[in-house]
Amino acid sequence: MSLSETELIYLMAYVDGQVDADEIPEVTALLDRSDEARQIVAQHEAMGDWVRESSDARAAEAGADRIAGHVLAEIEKLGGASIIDLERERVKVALRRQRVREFGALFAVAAAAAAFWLMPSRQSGPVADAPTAVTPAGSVRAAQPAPSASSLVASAPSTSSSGAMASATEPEGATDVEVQSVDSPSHPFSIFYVPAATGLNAHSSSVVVWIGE
Amino acid sequence: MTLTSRRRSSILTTLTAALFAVTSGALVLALPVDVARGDAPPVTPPPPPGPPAVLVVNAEVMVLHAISLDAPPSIDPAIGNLPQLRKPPLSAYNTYRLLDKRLLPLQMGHSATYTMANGRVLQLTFVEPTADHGFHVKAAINQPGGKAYLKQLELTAKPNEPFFVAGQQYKDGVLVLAITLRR
Repeated sequence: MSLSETELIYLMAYVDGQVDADEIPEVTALLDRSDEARQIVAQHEAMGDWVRESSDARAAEAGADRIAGHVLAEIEKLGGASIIDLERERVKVALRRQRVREFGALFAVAAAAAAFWLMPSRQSGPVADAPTAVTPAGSVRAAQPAPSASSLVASAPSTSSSGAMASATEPEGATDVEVQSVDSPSHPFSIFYVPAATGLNAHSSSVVVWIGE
Repeated sequence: MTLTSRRRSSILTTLTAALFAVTSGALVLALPVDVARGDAPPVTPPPPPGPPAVLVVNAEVMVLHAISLDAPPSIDPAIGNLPQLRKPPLSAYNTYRLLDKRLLPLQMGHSATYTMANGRVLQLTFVEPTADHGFHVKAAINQPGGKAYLKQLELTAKPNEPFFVAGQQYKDGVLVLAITLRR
């Protein structure tokens, strides 16, 4: 072989179309003067054709030209999926989180302000118009709005045991009548604090001691 | 973060701070003045000389018959103005009639008795006047020859403010005692 390694590299680059334009005259001159160079170029071109043809056939056989369609078809077989714009979705999620934080803070502040404004003054009288009943044990419970006598007796604590006595617990706020104690050994009883009036005198309350037979 | 969202966040932060300031101001205003200022509670001045001690009080006892009728609510005009009758638990009965009305003078440390329509005896005792111009009294309802219905009820009441003792069964209804202490 009379061709140098550099000349062989140039010839292969020439077949592949990789020779610069200013070097092509040199390669053409080599092909003109060397049969061996022409044979090598012919062999390389034949080999290139064969490689391209065979690889194209294998790619077509493997469906390389419709690879995206195949992938989507396979996804559809698995139940489908929507293709989303990741960046847009990230921005949306971040905005949603930010709004939740902002509105959460605003809501908390508004709730605190409403609680302060709605909180009854400690100097005001009883708010509820309904009376409260004090059981002999001293615990305060809300009275039934309009109990019948029988329900009152039924709801009153059993004091059939001897020595049923209770110290009354007055509701918060001023009362004009305050019960200190009730001693009813044989009869159940309840103590009701009843608002005596409404309006300006709503602070006033009186007492109903209900004693069952 | 974009410029717009940064601006919005800044505006919301400002709004939040303003709301906190308003809330804090409302809280401070809601506090009593001495607490808000951090002052110690003022020394209570000595009470002015009160009226002479009450040695006798008049107990007005009204015996009411409460029943439930299939009729519009009715309160005997002779009872007078007792709004408590229209409130629970007394509102459980829609009809009130005045059976009797007595004025029992009570001397401090002494008792007075009154026999009711069902035979039971109401006993009222004036214990002492209270510092807030009220009266400390005791009440008892006894069944002659039987167990006490109400062994003792001890309470303080302001003048002209009635208290009620209710629940005694009487003629398809109950008896309601409205007791008012008057000077």
